[in-house]
Amino acid sequence: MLQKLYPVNRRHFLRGAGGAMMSLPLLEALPKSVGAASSSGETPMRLVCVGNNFGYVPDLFFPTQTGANYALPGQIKVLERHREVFTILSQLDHGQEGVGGHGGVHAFLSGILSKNSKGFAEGNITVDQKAAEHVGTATRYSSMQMGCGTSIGNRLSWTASGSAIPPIEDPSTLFSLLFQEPEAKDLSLLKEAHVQEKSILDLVKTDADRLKRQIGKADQEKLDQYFTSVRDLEKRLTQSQAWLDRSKPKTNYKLPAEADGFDFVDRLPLYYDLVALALQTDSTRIITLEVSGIGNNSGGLPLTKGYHQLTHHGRVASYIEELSIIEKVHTAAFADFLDTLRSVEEPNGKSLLDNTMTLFGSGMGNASSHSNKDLPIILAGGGFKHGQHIRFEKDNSRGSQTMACNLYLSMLQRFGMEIDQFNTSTGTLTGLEVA
Amino acid sequence: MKNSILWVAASIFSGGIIPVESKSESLDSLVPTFVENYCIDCHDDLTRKGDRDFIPFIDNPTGADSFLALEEILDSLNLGEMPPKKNGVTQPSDDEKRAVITEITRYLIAESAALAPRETVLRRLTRNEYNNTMRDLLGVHPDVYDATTAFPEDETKHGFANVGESQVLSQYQMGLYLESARNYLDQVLVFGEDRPELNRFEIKPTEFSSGPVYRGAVAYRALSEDASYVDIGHGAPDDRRPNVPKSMQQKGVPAAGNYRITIKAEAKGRLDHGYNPELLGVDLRQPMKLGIWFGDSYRALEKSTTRGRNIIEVIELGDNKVGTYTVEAWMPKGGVPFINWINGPGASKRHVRMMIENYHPESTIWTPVRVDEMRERGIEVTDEEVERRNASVVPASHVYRGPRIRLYEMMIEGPLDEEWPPANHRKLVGDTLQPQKVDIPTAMLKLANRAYRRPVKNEEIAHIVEFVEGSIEAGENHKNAIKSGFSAILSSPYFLYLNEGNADLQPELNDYQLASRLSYFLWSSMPDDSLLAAASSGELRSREKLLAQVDRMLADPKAQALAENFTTAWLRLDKLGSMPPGTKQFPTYLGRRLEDAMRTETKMLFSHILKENLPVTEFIEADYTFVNDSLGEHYGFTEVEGEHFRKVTMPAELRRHGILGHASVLTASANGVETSPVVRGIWVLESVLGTPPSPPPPDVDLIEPDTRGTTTIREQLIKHREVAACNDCHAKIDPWGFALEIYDPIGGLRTHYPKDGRPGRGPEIDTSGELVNGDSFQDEIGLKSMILERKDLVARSLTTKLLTYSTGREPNFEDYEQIEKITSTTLEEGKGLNDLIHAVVSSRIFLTR
Repeated sequence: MLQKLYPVNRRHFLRGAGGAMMSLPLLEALPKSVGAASSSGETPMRLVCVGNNFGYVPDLFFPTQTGANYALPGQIKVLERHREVFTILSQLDHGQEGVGGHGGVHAFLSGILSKNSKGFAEGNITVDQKAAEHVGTATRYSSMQMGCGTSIGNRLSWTASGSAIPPIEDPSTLFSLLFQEPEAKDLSLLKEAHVQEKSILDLVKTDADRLKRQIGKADQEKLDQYFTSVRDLEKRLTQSQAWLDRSKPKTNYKLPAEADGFDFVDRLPLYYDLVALALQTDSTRIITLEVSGIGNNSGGLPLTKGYHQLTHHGRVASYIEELSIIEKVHTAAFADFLDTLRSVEEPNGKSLLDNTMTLFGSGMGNASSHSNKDLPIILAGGGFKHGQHIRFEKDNSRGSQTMACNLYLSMLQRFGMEIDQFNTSTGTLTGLEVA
Repeated sequence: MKNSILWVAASIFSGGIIPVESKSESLDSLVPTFVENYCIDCHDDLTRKGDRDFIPFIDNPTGADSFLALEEILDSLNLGEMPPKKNGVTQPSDDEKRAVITEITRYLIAESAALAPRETVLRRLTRNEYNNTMRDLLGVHPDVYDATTAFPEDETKHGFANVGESQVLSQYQMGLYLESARNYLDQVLVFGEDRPELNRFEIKPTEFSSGPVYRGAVAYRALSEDASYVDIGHGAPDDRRPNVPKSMQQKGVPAAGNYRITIKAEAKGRLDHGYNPELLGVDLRQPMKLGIWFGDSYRALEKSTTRGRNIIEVIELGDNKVGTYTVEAWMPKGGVPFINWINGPGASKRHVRMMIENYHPESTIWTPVRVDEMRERGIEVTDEEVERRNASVVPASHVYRGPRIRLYEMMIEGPLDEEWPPANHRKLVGDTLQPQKVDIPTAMLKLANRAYRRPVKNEEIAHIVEFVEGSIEAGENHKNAIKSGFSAILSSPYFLYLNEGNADLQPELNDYQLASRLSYFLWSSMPDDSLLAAASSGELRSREKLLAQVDRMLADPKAQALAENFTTAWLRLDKLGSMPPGTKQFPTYLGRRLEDAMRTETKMLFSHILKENLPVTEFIEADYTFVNDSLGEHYGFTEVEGEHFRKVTMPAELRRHGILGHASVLTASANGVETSPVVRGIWVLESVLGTPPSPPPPDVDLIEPDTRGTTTIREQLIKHREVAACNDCHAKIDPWGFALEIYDPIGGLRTHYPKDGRPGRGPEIDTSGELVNGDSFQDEIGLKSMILERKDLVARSLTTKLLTYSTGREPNFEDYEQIEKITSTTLEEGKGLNDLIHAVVSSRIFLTR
């Protein structure tokens, strides 16, 4: 039934035959400067984080056995073919800091609720934005946020100032950001606008300097935010200016004309395509993909109830059956994505997946009870030793547990950052080793 | 609750302001003595009822941990919950209670004084305020063409978006400020443009349906044979296939401006279709309504989105009675007008197909699937027969008698603006269309005066003028340079923030700061000329004249913003729509546009109570409400016809008295799927009584509901409360919510729970509850009398929230006396909401930083 709705092999052209390593025909004759290799000649590490808002039915996501010889439960069975290249991490969460039911989901990649961000040195900055600091201006976009349906409660990317970065939803917009050269006329307008905007920022900085002398102590922090925002925006404009004259990569990938209007089931794979393309062309090294809801028309799936309604299954079998249809669409699209990443060979002789830390999961542990504990997390690629299910130590009675931020710290270190603390981390993640 | 010295701690401290270490302030020994005498039996290190152990407090009453304990003790005493009225529990006398409450309050005030922000922290315009200000400043139309849709959602504190302390700003938002300023300016400035021609687009039915009726097919839109009308048989508020005139599809209207749209149409087949209504399966109780809309560009009409769609008007069509309807609306350049059957049966054409199949075999095509089925059933039919048959079917639209909108004509005329350059352009740069002729210093100063909401000195904008003139000298074109100058003013911190000066140097607001505070309170927008003139003449220093301004402003339509934004924050209606109910479980929520209707109801009740100056208890006990046809239907009140909202007295049996019966509140306090007495209980405690419960202890894990069998939420909670740590909080929360279980997740009345999510009745709902102090009630009527017994809490909560909203900061303990005075005066003298707003505006809290 489902196979008919979304044939798994619909995007053959994207995938290497039989998963064999080969260069994908995504790009035509890449100019050297736009290829995946960074200017230093090294193949860069990338980071992709995918998060949905309702999580997965825990019994159908976490294997019962740990170690290498585990059986894949229903929702992730589709990942069987990749079992050597990912790790299932269970009993990781953010402790009390991430609890808030639906209102806790947005802490997935930070470990900290936005409303509590003030109490932390870097607010509720998320792992991707932390990593983006490391990339700086090396790529056209220091990071990208994509959203297949979005919801304010499921924002994945948050800055150190405590604000969320709304994702871009339309595949066509994403595609043009990546590949479409602005027309000469627009380009000159854009350049002009950049210059103007920078001048405007200079002008308002003068105002802010004056205002600073007129306000009280308690206000200074707010004005400092203004200064910081102005400075950061200047940096972004500078970065953007530097890239304006450099041509965008070319691709023979064709985004379907009506892509923005596709039902969820047909639209979701397109975002993954765009993620792969963005990474392969080194347009950015950091991407978050928010998957919230399934949109209207039941997402194009044979459902009789709403997604949210189904997540409150109360263990009723018919609910879980329908919910599984949706959850399997998520995991199937992710499995296809891993195929894509594995089939791209990079200058360092490794696959794009080896060079991409790929995190898949949710800030919701169990939607049926609104629990933000025991988050579903899969880590693939990135040059780690994979192939197992690791269950981390947790003892509620003693309040001891492993923080998900330990994983993020390990990832950031792998990304090349010399830090030993990330938000609520208590150390790096033991058991996760570099291959 | 007779105690007149009640004070509510939790509303102030629930923000988590807890002193790191206690200072030298002393606490009278009567408090620890009281705790020892009346509390410690249950709350010691052994029994730890409610996970509360007050031994450390008694050992060190001013220790670092005592703050929380004192807050909780104060809350429990204020609510009359503790000590519980049970056999064997010694009760303190009223005098003792009063003395302890006074002392704890005094102590907490002293202790907290140094901690909470004592003055409003520099606050930035909320997205709403920004848009309203742009509307009043530039004359743009953010309500229908919003340049801020990409803004991140405002960070809120307990529902309030304007609390400076918790606002955040990022480079991303900063970039959007530059963009939206340019966007709005682009709409206003028409340098070098000719007056747009007055266009008349006569749209024929053929523009909605291409060519002759498709033989045999069942269509959404069907053109009559003489092409004199088109029948529209489908529709929903969020149409996936809205009816867009072909000539408008790509480019939309050629220029921004006001347009007149005239439509000739009628309703067909609603009352006289003659089909079996059940088989038809379309709700036809309401007249058929024609929605007139525009998308801000053709992209708003794509299948996947409803973003950028704006509703202009909803018209009830006459049954078999052709009417001509005219509306006017402002549209941006590229705006795409379209129409739909807004209360139609949805995007599916199932109902049309069913009628054709059941009643009109002569119009039924033999599809390949159907032929296969026939052959399977043994009916022999050749391919030729199929072809012949299909060639001779009668077009479905000739025979279909079901409900559809019949559209004869649509005319779009505009832009209708009479003057050129438009008034908004002239307001910024004068009469000229040539940027070279603009007097730059004057234009910049004029905008800055209004944008900064105070008189601006030349030297304050000298750098901007210099920049504009300098860029022109350097070869930049005039238009761009002027726009950049304006953009700088509209991105300046003087515009984006409400600058209230330095509280240490001058705690009182000056005249202009006061004018802004007042206008953002009542209008969520900038002061108008009259208010600025009053500020300039020093009039606002006179209480009488200040209050006269308040009344003038409340009478202005812009005061709708208060009703809308304040109720949203106070009653947490910001949560409405964040977890939208599923269309399958609750089809009317979207299909009847109930969310908007719900907001309107609550907003109108607020406006009514304000206008009539009724007491705040009216919010709890009003025996009337405001509905239109759809919301009326939702409430089982079917005597209301039409889109228009009006005041109706609600029969008691419909159980809609007061805001606790408002669907807005009941939907916002549910999650779109199911209800929870816990969430609604917390809502009552937080929003209505102003005494939010403490958060659960950190080690409590959520219990995954197992709703197999007939377990109700009440049974689940009873099970939950077997855990002692859970019980003591939940005993305080849940009862307030039980009574509201009679309302489903979208506030519809029900008597039974749904059964396992399947059709049929589940267990019956039990609305009774017992408060911790032993008082019990049977249903929501009893609940309301419990609340009315605590009307001092209700009034105090409302006062506190009005002060929060109007000043942009949460009051702290230092403000206690004033709040207390306002509240008690309001109650004792039987004053109304208008009086309360007067009291708020004339309070020292409002008049100072």
